[in-house]
Amino acid sequence: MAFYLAGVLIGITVGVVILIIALKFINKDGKLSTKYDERQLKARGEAYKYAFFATCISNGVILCFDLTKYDLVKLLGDTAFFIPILIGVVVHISYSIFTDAYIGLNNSITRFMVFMLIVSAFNFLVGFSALANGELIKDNVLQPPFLNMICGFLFVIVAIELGIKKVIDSREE
Amino acid sequence: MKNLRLKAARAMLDMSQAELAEAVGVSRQTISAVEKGDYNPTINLCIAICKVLNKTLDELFWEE
Repeated sequence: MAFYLAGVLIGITVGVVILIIALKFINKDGKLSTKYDERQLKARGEAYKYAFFATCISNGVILCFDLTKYDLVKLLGDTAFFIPILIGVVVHISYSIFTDAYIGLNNSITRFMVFMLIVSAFNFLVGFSALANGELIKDNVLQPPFLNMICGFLFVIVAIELGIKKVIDSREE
Repeated sequence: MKNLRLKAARAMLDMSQAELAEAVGVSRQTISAVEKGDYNPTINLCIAICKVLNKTLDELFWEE
C-alpha cells in the first residue's frame, strides 16, 4: 500500500513538474499563467458553451447505442466515458483557434505547436506499443492505450489547425 | 460597421495593428476585429486606444 501511495505521489509530482516546464516553454514571458484579452475571453466563453453541448450530445449518442445493445459500446469499454470529453475538448480547441482565442497574448504559437507534437508523439508511443504487443484489445474490449492513440490524433489535429491559422494570420497581416 | 476612423488614426501615426495591439495590451486580431466592426470593444479598451492614438472617444467611436 505504501509503495502504491508513493507511486501515486511521484506520478503526480512528475506530472506537475512537466506541466510547469511546458508552461514556461510555451509562454514567451516565462510566466506560468496565460493572458487573454477581452475579446479572447468572450470567444473562449462561447467555445466552452459549444464544447458543453457537444459533450452532452455525444454522451447522448453513446447512451442511445448502449440502449439499443449495439456491440460498439461494449467494444469501447471504459474508453466510452472519455470519448465525449475528448469530443468536447476538440470542439473547444477548434472554435478557440479559429476565433483567435486559443493562443494567449504571452504564448508562442510555434512553441505551442512543438509542444503539441511532442505530447502527440508520447501518446502514439504508448498506443502503438500496446497495438504491437497485442494489448490494445483484451476480451473484445478496447483498453486504455486506445485513449492514448486518440489523444495522439487529437494533438496532431490541434497542431495542424494552429499551422493553418498561422498561415491565415500571416496573409492577413 | 467598419471603423475606418480608427484605421485612419492608426495609419496617421504610422502604426501597424500589431504595434497598436501591443501598446493597448490586446492581440493583433482584436484590433483587426475592432477595425472591421466584428467586435465591439469595452469602454476600457476604447479609452486605451484613444490615449495611444491621441484622439477622443467621440473622434474614434461616436456614430452620428
